[in-house]
Amino acid sequence: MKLTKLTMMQHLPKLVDVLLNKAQPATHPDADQLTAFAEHALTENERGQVLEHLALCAECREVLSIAQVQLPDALPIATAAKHTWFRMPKLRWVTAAALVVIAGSTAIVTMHRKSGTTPARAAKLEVNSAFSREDKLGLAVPAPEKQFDQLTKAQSETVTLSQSPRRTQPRQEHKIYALKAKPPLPPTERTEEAESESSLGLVARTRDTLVPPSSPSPKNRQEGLAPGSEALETRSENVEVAAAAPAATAEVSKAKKPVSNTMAQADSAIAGDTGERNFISSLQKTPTSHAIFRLTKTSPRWTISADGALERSFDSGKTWEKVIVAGSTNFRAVSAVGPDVWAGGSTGMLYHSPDAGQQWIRVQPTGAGAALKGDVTSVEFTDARHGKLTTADGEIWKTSDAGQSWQVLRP
Amino acid sequence: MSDSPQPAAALPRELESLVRELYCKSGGEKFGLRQQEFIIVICRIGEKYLPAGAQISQHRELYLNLRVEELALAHACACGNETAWETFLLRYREKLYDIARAIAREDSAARELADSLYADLYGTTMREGSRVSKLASYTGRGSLEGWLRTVLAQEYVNRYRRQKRLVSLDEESEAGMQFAAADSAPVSALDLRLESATDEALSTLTAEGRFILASYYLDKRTLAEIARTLSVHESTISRKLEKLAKFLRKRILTGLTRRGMSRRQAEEALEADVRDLQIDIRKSLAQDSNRQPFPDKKVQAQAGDGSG
Repeated sequence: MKLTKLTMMQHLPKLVDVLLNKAQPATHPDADQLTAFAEHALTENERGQVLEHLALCAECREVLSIAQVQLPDALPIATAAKHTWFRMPKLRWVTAAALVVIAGSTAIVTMHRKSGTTPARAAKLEVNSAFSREDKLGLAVPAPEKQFDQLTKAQSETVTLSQSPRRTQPRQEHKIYALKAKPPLPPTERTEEAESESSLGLVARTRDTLVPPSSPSPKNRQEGLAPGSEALETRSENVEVAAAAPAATAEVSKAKKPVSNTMAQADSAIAGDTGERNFISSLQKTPTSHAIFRLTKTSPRWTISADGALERSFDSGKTWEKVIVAGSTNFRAVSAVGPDVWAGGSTGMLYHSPDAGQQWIRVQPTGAGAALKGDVTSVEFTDARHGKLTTADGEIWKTSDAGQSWQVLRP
Repeated sequence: MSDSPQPAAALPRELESLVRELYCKSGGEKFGLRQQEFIIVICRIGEKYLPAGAQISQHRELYLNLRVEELALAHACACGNETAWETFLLRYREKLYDIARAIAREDSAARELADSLYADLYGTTMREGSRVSKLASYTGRGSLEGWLRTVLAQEYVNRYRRQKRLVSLDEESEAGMQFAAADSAPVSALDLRLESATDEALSTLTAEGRFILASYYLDKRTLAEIARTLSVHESTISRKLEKLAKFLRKRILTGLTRRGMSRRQAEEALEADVRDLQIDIRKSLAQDSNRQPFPDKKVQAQAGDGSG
């Protein structure tokens, strides 16, 4: 069968080749029709006509094919992902093994602590784990080693690490979070706003995890802090580390000892900390991760405020600024891949910014003869070209060419 | 915007509110495009793409699917509105160069290609005392960016063709044309039954099937390129090609046995060199060749845009 298929496949082109040369149509579809054909914006009848023409006209096929040429991505994120050194099987295995070792050692240390470890040792562990968590959240983190040194010296005292004398904005005053020793940050500490946003599938805000120290979580209030546990209170610019003595509570903050610390010091301290941090620092030294880290620094974070406004942050969520897109658009979802930002809202509103929010283009998806009308509830783009959005009616709209054409899937 | 707007074409009364709504949606006002001008543009689009006596629902479907914002921008640019041009350049200038670079694959050629299109978009030719901008031919059926891509591709193909025509016969000879094997004249038909069976099988293919066959075999496009054109996955094209080959083989074999051949004879006949076949492909592939599906080139030339 394979042989016959091959024979057939070889014969057909010659036949078509010989005979198609005689069949060049006199009239051609215009550029609009070819574009609409490529974007699936023609009616079935028109699409059939254009296909009929294309079957005969090599010239139009050529034009259509050239017009579909893919543009190189504006940012090197794809290139960074394609970097080959990390894709080597050996290195992947080494990474996996390192992670297993880290996880194993953490488990062993935890078991030791449960079986009776000194409060100071436990405090060190907790500070480390707290910073690991912070790093995952993308927050600015202070130097845990230095903090721990201060912590052990102070013995039940509160150590304050001030990064700069400048006070933060009033909004930032709330960016304080409390980390209990165990269990690690219960979900009840998330603010209501954060929960409502996460249910909408929005980008997580940094401030979602922040709880003012003056109002500890209900769980904390009920239980107090058990002996041997610590509370870590951190501001975006002022960091407070409180280590409780076996009999002390977390609320004790007797003497505060300011220690000057800069972001650079914090970064170097982070890099020099645990095995995981060593691994991260080694990643930071590679060109690939340099590109990624540069991107994360330059690409803003995006979110939707409670009143449906689009907001972005250039400082990892410390401050947020409103972005004016259109008059009175009520946004409900946003997705960002590098500088490409897609924001969807009520009544089929969909905007695209190719340059991190400098310019906005209204996109009106049409598919199967109808336009997008429903409220956009979620927008997900996996790269600059591929993405999908969901409406409140349950429609799913997909694009694979950066929003030029859309396929709709109705419930 | 223009000094003497042409009289509005006959817009059915049922569509007036729709077109007014589209005008508001288009934001043409901020580019100085008046409602009356917008209606004229819409009516021209209707005349161009709808048959005479089209129903209101057909008009409605066509107009609702237009990209009116981009349409208003393009026509405002064609009319020379500065704000519109600023917006256009802000949105498309870099993109146009990127597309040209992707098409031409060489910086200087890309810049030349994009610049020549800019000149056309701005309107360097004069007709009846006024500039004719290529943007006036944009009808909003597809995105403006997609249209720019297509127009650039057309320009690129035209340039290539012009350059090819400029190659002298001497150069062609130097390139080895004199050694090229002469086209073998079609040998007389081996078996008329094979020709007619193949002819019949090809005529039963869908337009999409013929397009895929032509793209793959004749144009030597890759599966990925065909898939991108049809907005499907390349595995879909691969499957379709396989199915098409099976289908054609089966149909030809059936046709041959119906014409009195034994199964074995039919299979042997299939192995014949198809270059020997005399089949009118126009008749075979064009299922409806009597009708002219697209406006005549002359009409397009008046509109001022290129055609494929």
